[in-house]
Amino acid sequence: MRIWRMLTVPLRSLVRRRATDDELDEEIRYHLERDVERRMAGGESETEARRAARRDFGNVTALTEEARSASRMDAIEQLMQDTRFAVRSFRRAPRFALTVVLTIGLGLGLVTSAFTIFDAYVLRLFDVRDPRSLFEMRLHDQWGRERYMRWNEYRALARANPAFSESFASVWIIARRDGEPVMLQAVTGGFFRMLGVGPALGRLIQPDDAATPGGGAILVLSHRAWLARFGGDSSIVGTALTIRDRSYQIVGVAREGFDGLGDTPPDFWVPITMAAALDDRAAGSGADDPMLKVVGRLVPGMTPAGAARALSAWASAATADRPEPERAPTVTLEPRATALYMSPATMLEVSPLFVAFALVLVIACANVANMMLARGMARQRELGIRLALGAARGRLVRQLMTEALLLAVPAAFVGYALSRLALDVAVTLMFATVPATFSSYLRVLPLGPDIRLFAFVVACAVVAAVVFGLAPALQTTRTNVVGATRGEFSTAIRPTRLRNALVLGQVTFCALLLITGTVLLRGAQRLQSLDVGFRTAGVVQVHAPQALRSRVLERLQSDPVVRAVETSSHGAFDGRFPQRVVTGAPNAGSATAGSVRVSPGYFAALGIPVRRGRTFSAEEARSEERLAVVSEATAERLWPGRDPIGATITLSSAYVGQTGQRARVIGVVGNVVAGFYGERMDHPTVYEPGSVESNLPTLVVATRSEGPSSLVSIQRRLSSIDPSGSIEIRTLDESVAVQLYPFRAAHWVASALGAIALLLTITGIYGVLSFVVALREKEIGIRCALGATSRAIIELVVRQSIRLAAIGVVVGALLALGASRFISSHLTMIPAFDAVAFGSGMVIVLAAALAAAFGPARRAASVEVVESLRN
Amino acid sequence: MSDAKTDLLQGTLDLIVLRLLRSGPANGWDITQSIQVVSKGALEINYGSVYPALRRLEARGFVKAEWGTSDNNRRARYYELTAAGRKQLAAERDAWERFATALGLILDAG
Repeated sequence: MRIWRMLTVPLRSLVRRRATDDELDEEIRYHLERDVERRMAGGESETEARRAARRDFGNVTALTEEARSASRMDAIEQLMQDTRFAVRSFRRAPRFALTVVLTIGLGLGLVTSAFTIFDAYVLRLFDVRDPRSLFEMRLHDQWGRERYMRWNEYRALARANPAFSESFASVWIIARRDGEPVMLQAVTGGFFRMLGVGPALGRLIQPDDAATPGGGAILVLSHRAWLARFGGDSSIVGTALTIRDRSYQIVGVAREGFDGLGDTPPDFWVPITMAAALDDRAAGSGADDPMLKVVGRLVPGMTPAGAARALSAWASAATADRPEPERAPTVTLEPRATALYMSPATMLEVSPLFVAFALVLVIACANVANMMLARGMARQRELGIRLALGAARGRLVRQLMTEALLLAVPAAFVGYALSRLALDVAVTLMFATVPATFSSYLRVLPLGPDIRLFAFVVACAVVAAVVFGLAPALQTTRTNVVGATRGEFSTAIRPTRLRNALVLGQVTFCALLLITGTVLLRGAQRLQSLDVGFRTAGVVQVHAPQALRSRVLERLQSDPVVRAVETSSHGAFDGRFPQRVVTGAPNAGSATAGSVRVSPGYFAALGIPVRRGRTFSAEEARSEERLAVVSEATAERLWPGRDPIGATITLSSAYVGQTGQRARVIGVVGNVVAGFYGERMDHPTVYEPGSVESNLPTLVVATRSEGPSSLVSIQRRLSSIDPSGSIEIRTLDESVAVQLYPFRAAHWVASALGAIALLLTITGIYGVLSFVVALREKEIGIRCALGATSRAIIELVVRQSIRLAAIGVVVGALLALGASRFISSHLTMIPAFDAVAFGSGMVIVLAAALAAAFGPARRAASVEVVESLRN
Repeated sequence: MSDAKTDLLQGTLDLIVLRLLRSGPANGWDITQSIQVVSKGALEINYGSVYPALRRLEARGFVKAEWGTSDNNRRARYYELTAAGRKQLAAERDAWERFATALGLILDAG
């Protein structure tokens, strides 16, 4: 409270300037009138009294002005004085100033980098008309699972219009062109008009373009794709582009700064009527109906909750006549004003990430606070004398805080520059280290600075200055005036406790970061050797457009490096298999299972073991007989303890308008990961027969050798039939590497943070111990004189470091235990307690503390006894 | 404004005002009257210079001000010593005494 007053009194008088000006006039008026009254009561005439009162008062205008400036000039002048003084003292100690600026700059740079990404994805509003009224609509089935909207449903919604004043539907499509993936967003005709986005060139998609299914073969380029892929050539408008054997006319380029309404900027926009022609996933699965995402603009005055209620009522009525899994009784709305929507709960969940970055800044602040403290000790004579001469303590604290703030300003610049550099390097590194086949799919939102970012850096710098400046300022001005005048300085302040607390905090946070980083590293390693239930080495998945499929198959089958070519309706590691409800008729349970259609040799090619019964025969596959092979998990769920062979199951349809299909179980196979890498293996999976010659989209190729040569051979053979590069060839190992990448990246970031924290902590301990040794030189000299060996002196100093480090490491490990509990509740492969990670993290920090103590300890041991005692 | 003279006067006047406020809150006019009475008219100052002094003290947090009603029922600004002001008064008083003693010693030594 008192500190607050000390710091804010001059500030308040600045803010309240106008009010005090009026008050001053009133005050002086009162004085004069009162004086006139007094004189008139003493018998003077009014004119006389007035003249006398003014004479006694002095020059009214000048004095008013002086009083006026006394209240505010004091504040400004003090600030100027403090600034000049601080700059002078920095010039005397440039190394100190530079170290502070760089240390704080480093911490600020890390925090700012993290914030830049957060800002770009979570805070920055889309540059479209009234982004805050945009909401994405999500349908949920009765089990709460998300369900995409179908075309007819969207048309019905657009007609019924229960909550949106306008809306658009879109589908994401990834196609391949020139060997590179292109991201397409197929949109309904009103897309650009609704968002208020105009063209930079030509025209954009209009309602007429998206009127008839299969019609409207036009293309709009994003401004970025126009620059990146066509070099900003304006003659490109009007020309044609071939994607998936179809020619599209480029009609225009969208204006700069519009990157769609998602976290991935698209390259092209096409009318939604082209979606089926572009998406080959739709072809094999029978789902020629695209799965739509719907974004609408809320009717003015309607609350999101009210709109969700109205849309839920509409959706449950519109899907009431469907089979049960098709019904959608609930609709939720999610704001689409920013790339990623984060509810307060989600923000809380990602906050540990920011805490990790902030901790490095805290450690940097602790380092600097210790330096300021040491400097304050060295300046005790100066501060003591100034206190003795009558300087108010608040004034001195203010002056020391001015110094801290002055150092924070260049630190903010350094931090900002560092963050720009770090982000550039990080993005480059990411593109360089991500598996090659994936890097062309990677899209990053622009990370350009904005006003929020600058405000953030400045705010952080000010907070940092208060953190590293205030405690030392209060400590060092607590000088005993009497002692100081007597020349006793070193006994006056003993900020040992504060210094120890700072070192302790550093060690604690450093241990926390390092241990958590090691836990993540080992998690990533464990994930690398995760059992997925099938072989990934030497298996290549090929996706080809339907038109090329038979020729691709022929080439593959005649390739000598190929052992077998099989097929499936859904690729491995390509997201979850389509989910269907499986019922074991008539007296068995039911379960949701991933369903996939595969060719007979699929199990052998991937090494999935057959546990009971048999797999499909070639004949059964060709005629797509109503047979099923189920995974062990399915058998356990539906027929616990019984033999499923020969049982009949009903598979509810995954698609609109079809009723359930019956199938006879002929075999049981081992469990597999039927979705992304890292998902659980015990999720039920049901296989249905299909033949290699059918139109199932994924070709699964098992090669004879596991080396890269077979992949190269396959690529060469296929490139001749597809010069436009629309065939996607990827090994399963690559898919695994891509899906492991986020974990590896997380571990790198954690390790980098840990390393920086360790470095800062080592320098912090080193600095503090050096200072303490210098302070205790006399004492050490006496110890030496009394016969202490240099070994004993070294022990004395090292013990001090180790004691602090030990406490810090234990507290840090306890915090890390909480952190890894939290992480393991989100990621299954991270154990709640990883003894090896904890052990190694703690040892590293302790070893670092020992190393940091070594230099100062040796210096202490070499203290010249006579010298130190004479001083 | 000439430097040496005003500086000395300024400091002294501030001390006087602080001292007078020790006996309780007062407004500017009260203070000018007290100066007259206590110093028995020996100090020749412009009454008006009390106001810059009060503002200075207020800006440094030694006094705080509030509007109140004077004894003749008019609105007047009343000043009161703060805890910091009390301390400052003690410190300045000590400093003044040390200065006066030292000066006395020097002057008597001759």
